[in-house]
Amino acid sequence: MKRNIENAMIGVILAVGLFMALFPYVWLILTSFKTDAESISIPPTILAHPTLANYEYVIFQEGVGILFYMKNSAIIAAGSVALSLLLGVSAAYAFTRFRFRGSGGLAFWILSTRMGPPMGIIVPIFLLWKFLDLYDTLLGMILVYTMINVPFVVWMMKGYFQEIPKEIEEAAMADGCSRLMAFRKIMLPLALPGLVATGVFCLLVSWNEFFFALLLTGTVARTAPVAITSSISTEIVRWGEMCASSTLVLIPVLVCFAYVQKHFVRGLTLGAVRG
Amino acid sequence: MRMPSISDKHLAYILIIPAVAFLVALTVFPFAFSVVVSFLNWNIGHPEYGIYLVGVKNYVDMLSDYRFLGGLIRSLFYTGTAVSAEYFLGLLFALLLSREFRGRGIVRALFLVPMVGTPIVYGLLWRMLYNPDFGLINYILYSLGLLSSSQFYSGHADWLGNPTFALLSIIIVDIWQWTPFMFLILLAGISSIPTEPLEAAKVDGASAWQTFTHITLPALMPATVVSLLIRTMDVFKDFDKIYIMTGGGPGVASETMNYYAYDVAFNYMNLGYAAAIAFTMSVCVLILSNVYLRFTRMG
Repeated sequence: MKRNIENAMIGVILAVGLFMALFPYVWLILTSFKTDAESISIPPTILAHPTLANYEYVIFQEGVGILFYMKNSAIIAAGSVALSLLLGVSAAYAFTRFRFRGSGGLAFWILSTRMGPPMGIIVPIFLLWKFLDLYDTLLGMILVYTMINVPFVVWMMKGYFQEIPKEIEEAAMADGCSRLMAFRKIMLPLALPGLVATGVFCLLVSWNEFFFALLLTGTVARTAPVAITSSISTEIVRWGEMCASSTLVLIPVLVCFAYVQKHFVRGLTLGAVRG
Repeated sequence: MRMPSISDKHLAYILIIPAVAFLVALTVFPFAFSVVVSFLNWNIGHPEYGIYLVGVKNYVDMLSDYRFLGGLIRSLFYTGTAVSAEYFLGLLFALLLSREFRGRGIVRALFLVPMVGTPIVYGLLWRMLYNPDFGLINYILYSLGLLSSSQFYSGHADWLGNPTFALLSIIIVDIWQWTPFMFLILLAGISSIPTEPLEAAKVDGASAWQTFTHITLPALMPATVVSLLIRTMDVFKDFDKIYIMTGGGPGVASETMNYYAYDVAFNYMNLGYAAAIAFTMSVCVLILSNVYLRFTRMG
């Protein structure tokens, strides 16, 4: 009896927690299907007159075109993931397989670059980007997000590589494989799940980033998060449209999340905690 | 026998140097530049004064600048309240979800959802929920009898527009967004506790509370330190929510040190002073990050 009451209480607390966690999301999606009038009605209604007008507006209206900014975001994210993996995976492999003087300190330094506040470097980067004509370009944003992602890739992949026994690789090399071939044929396939998870994490970070995007883009390379905020720059906020573009931006995020869910503990602690 | 064309040592350098060079160019160089700028009078908003060396003047000015000091205090308040609330809520849910039941995996995944989305979207979403005229939060408070009908219909219960509540309202969003983080790290910590001591304690007749304080909590120390430090560093740097929800206002009621540095740099365009504030903040965060790195002893 006591046990049943206990279980019921736990169930209630969990249900309340879950409701709190998810309800804002649900409300966002509901509002995206509401008419302007309904989105600000008192008392609020769940969904009286569902409409696709908001989506139609944010996708097709001239000068809004959220899809254009999502495309920008996607190109920037993909470019930065490719570059970060290239730079990060090779460094991670070297840190795992070779010991040299100062390698530990160097690896720590790489990690610490990820932790400093963006505010500490934004002004010089802003000036430099203006000077190099990288301001408001896709390439400029790819470089900045690669800077954010490389330390993460190095540490994540270092962890995944370390889990592969050195002996497997050495055996292959004793059999005549070159180091590069051993890396391609053995290390990479074995570390592939970790590599994909790391890449998806970088995608998420680049897709969600706002601070650098706000300050380093104008109209050409503007990313989706910055574009969404333009719906509130006018006096009247069009909530339905804001919710529609937000929902569109969140869809890829949730898909990615579902995919990397199992690697989340490790990703969030940069490899410190293995879940 | 394999004949290596280049030595392993050289290969190591070839593999590491591109990443290091890239990071030096995009972090060390700008940071060093910032440090130099922090000793300059350089105000793009007032070009007539020119650019010249002022020594530590910018740092001295900070000590008597009420916006900086207020921002510092609000940063500490924001960090302290948000991180501790997230920790306790996260611990509660981690403990509740540590036992096995059907559908646990799904529940766990759903709990994480607030953490993954685009922060700027969250800022806008919560602005809508907090709206004094039609926002859902006021409607719920009104329905529960916590808000009188005159307060509700007049639109005066404006949480984000009220100096007392603006920062707290942002903190609540941060708690909503990041409690899942604490939950996840602590749940991983709990799952890694061996079952033997727990069973032994049960056999010896320990109460649930005793088991918790003597076994679970000490075993969670590493996860606790890691999660607290990561969150502290992140909250210190929070920008998106403040930018979109209040812009630091009303007045400076929700302005943190980070947000003030942004305002000085990009609205007043006083680059020298902004660099000094940013440097001070960077030092705080880098000290924390070193504690973190030393504690986790990664590698």
